[in-house]
Amino acid sequence: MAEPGQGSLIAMIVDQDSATGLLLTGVGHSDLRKRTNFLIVDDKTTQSRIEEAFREFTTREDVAVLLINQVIAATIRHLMDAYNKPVPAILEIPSKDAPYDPSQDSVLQRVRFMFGEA
Amino acid sequence: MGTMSSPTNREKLFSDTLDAAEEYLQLQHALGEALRAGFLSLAQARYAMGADRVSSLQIPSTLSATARVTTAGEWFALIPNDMLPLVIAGGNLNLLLQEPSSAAAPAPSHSPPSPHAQDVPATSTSVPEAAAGALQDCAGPPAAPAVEASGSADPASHGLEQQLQQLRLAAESHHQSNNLMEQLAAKYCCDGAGTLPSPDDPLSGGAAVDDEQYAEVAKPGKPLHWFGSLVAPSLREAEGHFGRALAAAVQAANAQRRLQKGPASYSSAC
Repeated sequence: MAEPGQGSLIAMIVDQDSATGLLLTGVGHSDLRKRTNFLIVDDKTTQSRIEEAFREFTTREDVAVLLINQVIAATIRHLMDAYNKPVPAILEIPSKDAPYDPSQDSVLQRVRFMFGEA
Repeated sequence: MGTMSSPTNREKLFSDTLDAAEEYLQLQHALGEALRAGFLSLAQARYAMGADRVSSLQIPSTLSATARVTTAGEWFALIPNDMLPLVIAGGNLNLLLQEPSSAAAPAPSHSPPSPHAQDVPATSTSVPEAAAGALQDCAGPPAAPAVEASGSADPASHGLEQQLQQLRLAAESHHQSNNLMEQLAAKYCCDGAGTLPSPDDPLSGGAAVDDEQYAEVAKPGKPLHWFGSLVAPSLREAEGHFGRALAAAVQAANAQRRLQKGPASYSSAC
């Protein structure tokens, strides 16, 4: 967990435009080991790299929220569906090219499934 | 009684979950709107400044986050910084920044580094650390110790007053010093702690170094400065839009938490 009172980080797995814009707000961080709290995904980024970043950000103690473009989340949907920890919270956000689709959101799908079972 | 209240309880849990889902979708919609406006402003900034000047290439290698969230209690809350007041003033979202009890405690003493360097360190012990931090992190926001020592509970007005005091002191010191060599030494040489004044700091000089109360402040590391000293107005607009998007994202994360609790409670009540 982050140092008390200092706050936790907001991690990102987003495309370049989303990263440029969100970094303007000051969410970007790099520690002494040059570990950043964001991954900029482009055409050359492999799925394994995305999965590795997802696992890293969801296991770091100083990350409270993980923002991920919904298009990128679709490539690692198996990891998104298997994730059930409360912190960090994973939020699927729209990208410049693709708007938010509620039917693809893992959280809403899970709620729909659970209420469907009940 | 328990069996009669159980269906009512389940109905209440169900309706609470639906309310949380509706709130989550509304916040996602607001987030999408803010992001869309931000992307448009970013595109305008690229058109005005050039695509290479507004890209991830400008991101420095060392970064220090100024926008953080607290997990005080059960919910996430954005720690206010200099950019978030813009969000509050310009946005039409019902921001839930922090609970009053949790907002008061962390913000004053452990607020994230101020991009405008308004939180001037009140003690001399933090000054060398702040200046050293500014040297080490020359491209990013100032180091945390500079802000931790400030203890400013109201950075907007308190920081402005301190800046005015520093400007007055600097003007007085420059007028009083008749010796050119002394002026140059005071302006460019190190102080007793061995730190160098920041080149971008307009107050770098004898007053800033000699007077421990108004000593060197950490270099402001606002992310907007990564893209140059003079940026297009559209880039500033983009900053505001993405700030609103960030606030909406944090609120959506809270709504998501409520939404995730609903089915579990409903299942346990069945």
